[in-house]
Amino acid sequence: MSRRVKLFLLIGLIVILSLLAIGQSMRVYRALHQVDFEIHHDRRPGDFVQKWITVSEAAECLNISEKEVFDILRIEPATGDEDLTFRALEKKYNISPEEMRDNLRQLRERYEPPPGNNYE
Amino acid sequence: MSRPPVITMSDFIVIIIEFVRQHELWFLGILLVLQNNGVPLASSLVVMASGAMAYTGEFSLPVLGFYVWLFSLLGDVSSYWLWRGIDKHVAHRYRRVNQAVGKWLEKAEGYYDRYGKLTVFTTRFPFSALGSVVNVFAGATGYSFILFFITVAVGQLIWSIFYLGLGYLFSDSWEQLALVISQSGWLAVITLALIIAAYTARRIHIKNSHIMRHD
Repeated sequence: MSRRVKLFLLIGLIVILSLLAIGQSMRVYRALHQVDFEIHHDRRPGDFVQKWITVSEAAECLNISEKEVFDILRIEPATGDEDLTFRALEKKYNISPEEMRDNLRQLRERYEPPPGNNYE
Repeated sequence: MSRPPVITMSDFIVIIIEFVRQHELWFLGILLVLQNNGVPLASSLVVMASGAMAYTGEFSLPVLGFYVWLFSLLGDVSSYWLWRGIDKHVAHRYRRVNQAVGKWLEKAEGYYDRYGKLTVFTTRFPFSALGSVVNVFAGATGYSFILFFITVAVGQLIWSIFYLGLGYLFSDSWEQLALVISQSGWLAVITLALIIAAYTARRIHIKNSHIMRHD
């Protein structure tokens, strides 16, 4: 392959890579805009509720019933669903990641301290 | 026919965290050792998510930090000695292998003599994706183990603090942050390819103009 052909191909590659880089920069920019950069200085009990914990763990941590957790998720539970993680429920009931994120946020705010506990 | 469920990067990270919760921190340790030996397991994102787990109170942050640092270091050291052993027992023993890779290793040795510390350090953080490749060459070229160990220990400490800290500070948004980090990784790869292409094109152009001038 002559040098000229190599140079021509490389210029084509540079153009394609430049377009890809622009597209990818836009994706990074959009993804950055979705991040909530708020820092919580104190740990709240509801923060325990993440995608990797089960419904029964969430109910115990939030001091609410499992039924209330399923109500917030808008799920009619089947037997054994209380032992599934939120990720597994998301897949099982076709819940979108955004919807699940909102549901978890709602759940975190539902924490009720046990009687006599003045935590919050 | 039903389609198989699609596993996204976020699902993959959560599955790993579920395993870490079930099997304690040694599972995370195995993952870090494998990642630093070249198995792509998105460990930086998993470490970030485990930072969020530390925020929720499931693990102590200093203990988690020590584990992450120690196992990352162990992964790098094991990778170094693995490739040093391969070089000694395969490349040096078999003439054909030696002929095939000898020249490249000599070139790499010269490079490590000049830029070894900088290369090893920057491929722990921020260019950690290239870390396992650098381990291979560091081991195969017989780069000083003491220098490798010290540089890796400092670099991995910064890497651990950075990713655990991100997850710990922004625990509510770890999923969105994981997306930013993985998208930024692709951007870095495209940018690197662009730089290499531009550099090669420039060299060819300079050679071409030299030839034309002589003609």
